[in-house]
Amino acid sequence: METAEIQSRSEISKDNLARWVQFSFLLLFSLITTYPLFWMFTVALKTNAEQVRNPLGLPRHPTLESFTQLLQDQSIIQYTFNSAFITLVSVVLVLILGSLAGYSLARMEFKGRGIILFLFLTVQWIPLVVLVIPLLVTVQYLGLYGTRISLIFAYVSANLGLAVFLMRGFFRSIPQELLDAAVLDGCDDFKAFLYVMLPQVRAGIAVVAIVSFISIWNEYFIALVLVADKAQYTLPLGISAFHGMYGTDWPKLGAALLLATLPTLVTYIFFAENFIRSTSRSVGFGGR
Amino acid sequence: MRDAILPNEKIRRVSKVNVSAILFLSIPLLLYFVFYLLPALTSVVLSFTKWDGLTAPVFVGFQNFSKIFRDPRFLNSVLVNIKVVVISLFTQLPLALLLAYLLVKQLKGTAFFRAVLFIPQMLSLVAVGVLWSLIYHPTNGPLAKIFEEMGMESINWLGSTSISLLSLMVTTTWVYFGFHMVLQIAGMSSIPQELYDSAKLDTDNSLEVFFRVTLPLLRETLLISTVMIISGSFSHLIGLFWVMTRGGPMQSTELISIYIYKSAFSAHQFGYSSAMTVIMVAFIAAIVGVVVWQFSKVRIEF
Repeated sequence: METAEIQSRSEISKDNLARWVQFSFLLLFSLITTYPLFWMFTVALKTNAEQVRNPLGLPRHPTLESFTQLLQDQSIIQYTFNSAFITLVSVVLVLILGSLAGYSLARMEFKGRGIILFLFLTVQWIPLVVLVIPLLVTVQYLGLYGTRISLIFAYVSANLGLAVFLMRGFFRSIPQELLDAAVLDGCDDFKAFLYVMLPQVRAGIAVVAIVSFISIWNEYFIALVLVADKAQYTLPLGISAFHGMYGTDWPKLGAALLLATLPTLVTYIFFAENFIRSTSRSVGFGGR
Repeated sequence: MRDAILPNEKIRRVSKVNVSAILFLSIPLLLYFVFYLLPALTSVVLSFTKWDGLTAPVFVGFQNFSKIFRDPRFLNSVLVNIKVVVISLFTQLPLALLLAYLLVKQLKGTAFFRAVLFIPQMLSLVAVGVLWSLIYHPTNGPLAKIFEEMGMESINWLGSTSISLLSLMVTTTWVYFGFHMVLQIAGMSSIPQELYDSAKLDTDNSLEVFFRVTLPLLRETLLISTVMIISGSFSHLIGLFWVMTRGGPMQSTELISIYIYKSAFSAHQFGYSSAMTVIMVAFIAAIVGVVVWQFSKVRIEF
């Protein structure tokens, strides 16, 4: 509780000035953040000729030509489908396996728990570049080269470390009485897990789902190495391919970029707070 | 009363084998092992071989490692990484701190600003790379157009050895500053208000308050940001840099990870590139270790 202070008029206007400067600064950076995206949007709405003439300005006669042209080339639909399929399956698997492993590491006692925990928590920091060559070898050996399944397995494994870390944290915060009550009611471990513990960690599931969704949907490098067949390309690979193919047709590129970024952006608009909080949490902060 | 009922745990302790744990962990561990741990171990093994991917690998002992440290291109890539980390630390952290500070003090529209400034984190690095390649385009790009209108000569942002790295760093900063800002906000939010109130009794100067109260207490979050910047330069940036410059021109933007990739998939030197990945991991572990150690040496007294 501040004691009432009598401010002189010059002090009040200094305060106001400071506030205006703060606000403008934040506004400035907001513009810097969004302008490239906005520009991308305007580019997609121009014709190629207009884009060459007028790279920076707004389209005189906005047209959806680039989008129709892009969609006529079936490939982007294929890429989107691949990405959607892979991401969906991977996220679901990450949630299931992450919860199972996280729960057992949180609330069960067994030999080797420390080692397994270490493996999940520390080894996940190894950059994927390190794994790429042997991963390729493994995938080829298993006859999975170029398939979407190989990507799914790779992505799930790559995200499992974080998922286990997060889910374990959430499971540990559940009071023991809940588990005791479940045991009293005659639950075995699995039933307790499924019906009692899992519903308690809905927040954790949301965090893991969001973080792995973004990471997998946008992933480029592993896909670059493991996928050779164009029909199996994910969206990031497709964008890279378009960049090479349509190098000079910027509206089409802009349209492709928009289509690639729209899913995450749209979900973000609705769930921005959740996304931000999930990211903080995944780095180790309680949700704010 | 609890001992009268035998929960599964007690039964398990008697039998010494936790069946449930095995059931719960088997599939996750299997997947993790085959597609993550095993490849990591294989990398280490491969680093002692010479292998072109087609014929059988040949064991060569430490030859790869001694070659690496005499390889000027590798040393160049280390330099690139160092530059990237140093530039990042000096741009991202101050920027993140500044914006976090403004945001925390801001009354109106905080949630809006935070959400907007975080947007670049939602984008795939490929999309960012392609987008900024267009922006930086020396003839058709918006920057080129601005320069043309001002009567100045266009700059080849990505094609000139002297500034291509800087151009990439601008893009990198654009992508990540929202992330670090969010981290610092989280850190700032956990500083108890009492400290600020008591500081206000000592001084009116908010700059002084920032440097002597806020900053030291942000030690942990700054540590996290620093570690992420360092490890990110080895792992995440490869996608962005690859799309924008492929490590060029003249290897001026060739990160260690990019050189590893090229040496493996263009030059087919799988053993050699595996050795480089081992060195890289050792670097990361060493640097992060030192950073964490240094940070933990600073003790805060209230």
